[in-house]
Amino acid sequence: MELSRREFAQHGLKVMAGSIVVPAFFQRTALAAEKDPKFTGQLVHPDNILVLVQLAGGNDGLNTVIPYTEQDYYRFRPTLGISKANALDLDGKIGLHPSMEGMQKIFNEKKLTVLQGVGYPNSNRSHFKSTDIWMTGNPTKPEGTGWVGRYLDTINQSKHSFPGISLGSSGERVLKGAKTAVPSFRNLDEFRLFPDEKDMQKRDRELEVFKALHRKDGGHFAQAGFLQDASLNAFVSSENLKSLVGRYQTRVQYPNNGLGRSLRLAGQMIASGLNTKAFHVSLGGFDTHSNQANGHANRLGTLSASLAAFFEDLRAMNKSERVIVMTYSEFGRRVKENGSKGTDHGSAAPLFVMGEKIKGSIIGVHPSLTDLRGGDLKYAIDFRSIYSALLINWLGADPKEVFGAMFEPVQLFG
Amino acid sequence: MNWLTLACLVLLASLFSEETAPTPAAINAAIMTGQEWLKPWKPTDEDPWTRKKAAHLFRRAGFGGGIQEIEIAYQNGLERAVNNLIHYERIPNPIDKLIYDVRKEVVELEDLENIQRMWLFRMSRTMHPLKEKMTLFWHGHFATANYKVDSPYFMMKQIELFRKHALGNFRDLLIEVSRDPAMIIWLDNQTNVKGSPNENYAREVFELFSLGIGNYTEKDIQEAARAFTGWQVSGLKFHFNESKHDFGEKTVFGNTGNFNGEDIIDMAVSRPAAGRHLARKLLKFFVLPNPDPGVVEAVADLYLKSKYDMRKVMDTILRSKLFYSKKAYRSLVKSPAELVLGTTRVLDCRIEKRFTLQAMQAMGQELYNPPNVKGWDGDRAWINTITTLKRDNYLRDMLMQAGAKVRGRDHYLLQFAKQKNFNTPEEVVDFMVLHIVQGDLSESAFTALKTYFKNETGTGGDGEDEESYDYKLRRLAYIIMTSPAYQAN
Repeated sequence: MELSRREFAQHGLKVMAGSIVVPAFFQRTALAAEKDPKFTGQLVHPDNILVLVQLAGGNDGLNTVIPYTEQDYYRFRPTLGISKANALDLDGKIGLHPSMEGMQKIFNEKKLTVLQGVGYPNSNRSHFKSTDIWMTGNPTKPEGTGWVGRYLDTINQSKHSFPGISLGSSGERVLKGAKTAVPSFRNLDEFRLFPDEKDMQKRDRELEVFKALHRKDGGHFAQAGFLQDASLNAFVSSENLKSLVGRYQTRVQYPNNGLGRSLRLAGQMIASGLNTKAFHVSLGGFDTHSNQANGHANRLGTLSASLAAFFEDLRAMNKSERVIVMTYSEFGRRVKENGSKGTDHGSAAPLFVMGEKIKGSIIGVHPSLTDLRGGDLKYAIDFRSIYSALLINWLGADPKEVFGAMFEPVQLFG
Repeated sequence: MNWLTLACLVLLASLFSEETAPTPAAINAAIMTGQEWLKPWKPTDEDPWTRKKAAHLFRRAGFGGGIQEIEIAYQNGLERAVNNLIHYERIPNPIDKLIYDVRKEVVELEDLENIQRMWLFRMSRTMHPLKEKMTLFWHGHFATANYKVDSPYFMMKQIELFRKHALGNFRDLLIEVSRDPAMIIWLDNQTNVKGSPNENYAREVFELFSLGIGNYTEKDIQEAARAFTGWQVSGLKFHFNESKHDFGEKTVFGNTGNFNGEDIIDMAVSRPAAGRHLARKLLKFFVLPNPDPGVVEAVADLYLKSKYDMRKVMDTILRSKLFYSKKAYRSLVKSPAELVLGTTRVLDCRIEKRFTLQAMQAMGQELYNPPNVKGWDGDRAWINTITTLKRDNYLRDMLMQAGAKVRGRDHYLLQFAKQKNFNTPEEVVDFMVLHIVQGDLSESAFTALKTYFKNETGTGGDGEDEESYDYKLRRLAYIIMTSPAYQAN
C-alpha cells in the first residue's frame, strides 16, 4: 500500500510493514494493449521492457561468435584462435566461445538471436567517441541525449515513477532525454535518504529530526513550502521503492559479480510491478589488448551466466514475455591478433538479443575475414536497424522521432 | 487595492506578453514602485545590518561564506561589504595568479576535466566572489557548450572573456562574444558567408542574448545575419574574412545602412526590450524568482541610463531595499554550483575536484556544458526526486564518507565547534545551526535537533573519544544541511 506524505508525517516507517499489494503509486491503470497515438504502427503490449547490457571496452566479436570453418581465422589468430572442438556450435558454421554455455542453451530454445556484422559507417576506434555513437544513436553528431532517452521523452511520463533506470552510472547517457530524469545507482541503498545508518533505531531518530525539519510550520522564507514538499516526495519515493522492491526474493542463483547483482536488482524491480520501460547495466573489462585468452573467457562467462540467470528469474516470476535484453559494445576488435596475445580496437562485431518473444535465429552472415576495411571487419547491419526493430515492434514507438530517419528494421520477432 | 498595485497589475499583463509595449503612463506608474524598491536600503535600529544579512549577501553575490568571511563583512558594515564585492580589483586575489602560472606550465588544456577543475578550484578560493558569480551568470546566459564546440581550450577562453567583462559594459561584452571562437563555432557563424547567410547567430543574439522573443522580426534576423558574415575563426583566433563579408545595405529595426556586426549590436543593446530582458534575468538570478514588472522596468531603466554599465547595475541591486527584503530572503533554490561551493566554504575545507564535478553533473549542472542554448532553467528546475537524492548523497559524502578524503579534522567549521568547548549539546546545536543556516529553522526543528544531539552525545562529550564525537558532529552538520533552508539560497 502506498505511503503518502501525510501518512509518513504521522506514522513514519511503521506504516510500510506488512503489505503485499503492489501500490497503485507504481502501476499503470490500463493493461489493455494500446496504440501509441503518435505512431500508427504495431499494437504492442504497453508493459514491454527493454534491458540494455553494455559490454564496455570493445568486445572481441571474432572470439565470441567463432567462424570455426574458416582457415583464415586460425591463420590470423595463431594463439587466440578457438578450435572447432571447443566452440559451442550454433549452426554448423559458427559457434559461441566455450564460456557461453548458458547462452548456447537459450539459442537452442530459439530465444536468442545472434546478429552478425553489426556496426555503422566510418566507424570510430575511440572508446569515448564510439560509445557516444552507440548511446546517442548518431554516428555523425554523437552528442546530447541518448536514443532510449529520446524514446522515453515520447511516452506519457506521468504513468511511470521511473521511466528508465541505470544500474551503475554508465547508462545515464543512453537513457538521458530532454525531459526525462533517470536515476542511476548501483544498489537501492544509494537511492535513499540517510542510507548509511545501519542501526535502525538510530535511523528512526534521524528520521524524526528530518520530519521536524520538513514540517509545514518550519518555513518562514519564500521557498520553504516547495523545498519541504520536494524532500518529502523524494524520501517517500525512495522508501517506497526500497520496500516494494525488497519483497521479491529470487531463488535463482545469479553470479556473484557486478553484472549478476545488477540484473538481480533489475529482476526485483520488474517483479515488483515497477513499470520502468528501460534498464541499463554494464559489464567492463573487454578492452583486451594483451593476454586476452583468460580475461575474455572470464568476461564472456560472466555475461552468459548472468543472462541465463536473469532469463530463468524472469520465467520464475512470469515476466519473461515482457522483457527483451540486448547486448552492445562500442566496437569489435581487429582480425589479426597483436604481438601481446591480445587484440586492438576494431570495428564490426556481433550482437545478441534475447527474450521469450524473440524468434531466435542468426541474422546476417559472418563478415569476410579477407575483405577488410583497414584491417577490420566490414559491417553489414547498421545498429540503428536493430534499435528501430525494438522501437517499432517492442516499444511501439516511431524511430523517426528518435533518429530523425527510418532504418530498415531487422526481423527479430515472428 | 491601491492604485499602485493596480498599475502594476496592468503592467504585469502587458509586459508578460512581450508583444505589445505598455503605455508610457503605465510604465511611469510601475517605475515609481520599482524605483522605490531599488533605492538603497539603510540599516536602522529596527532593521539593522546583521550577520544574517551579510550571509545573504555572500550567498547571492558569491557562493556563500565561511565563519570568518561573514564576520568580517558584518563588522565592515553594509557599505564596505558591498564595495569590496563590487570593486573587487581593490582586493588581492592570489588564486588568479596561481592558476595563470600553473596553467601555462602544467595543465593539458585540451582536456575538459582539467578546465572544469581549474574553474571550480578558482571559484572555491576566490577573493573576488562577485566576479566569479557574474562569470557563471554569463556562462548560463550565453550558454555555449563543449559538446558541440569540442575544444576545451576555446571554452576556457570564452569563460576568460566573461571574467574580463564580468562587471563591464554589456555592449562591449556582446561584441567580444560575437568575435569569440567558441561562440562562432557554437552558433555556426563560421559558415555564415556572403550569399549564403546562416541565421543562427543573429537569431540567438536577438532572442537569447539581448532582446527576448517577440521584439524583432524575421526580416530583422535575416538582415542582421548578413552583418555578421565573414566573422570567423582562423587557427586559434577570431578572423574577419573580408572576402566572405556582405558589405551591402541592410535594414534592421527600421534603420538602413551598410551595417556590420558591431552596428547590429549597438542597435540591439540600446533598445528598451534589451534592458528588460537582461534586467529580468539578473533579478531572477540574483534576487528573487518572480520580479515585479515595476522592478524589471526600473533596472532596465538603469541599464539604459548607465549605458549598459553592469557595475552600476549590480551595485544598485546589491544595495537595494528589494535585495534585503523579506520576499527576497531565501527565495531562490541553490544551483548545484552554489550548493557545492557553499558547502565547501561553510565547512571551510578542501575541495575534491573530481568528486565535486561529478556530483554537480549528477545534480544537473556541468560546467562548460549547459544542456542547450537556453542555459540552465534554474531555481525550482534544479529540484526533482532524483536531484533531491543526488544533492543529499553529495552532502552525505562530504560529511560522512568513511575513510573520507574530507574528514572531520579537515572541516574547519567542525574544528572551530570543538575548540569552543561548549558546555552543553544545546550550545553546539545553536552554533552549528547559526553558521550553516543562519538560524533559519522553526522552534520545533530546533528542539528536535537538540533532543537528537543530546541523545547522541549522552552527557556531552567527556570521556567520549575524539573520533566518535567527531562523527557525531559531522552527522549533525549533515542533518542540518538536509533542511529546506540549506537547499534554498
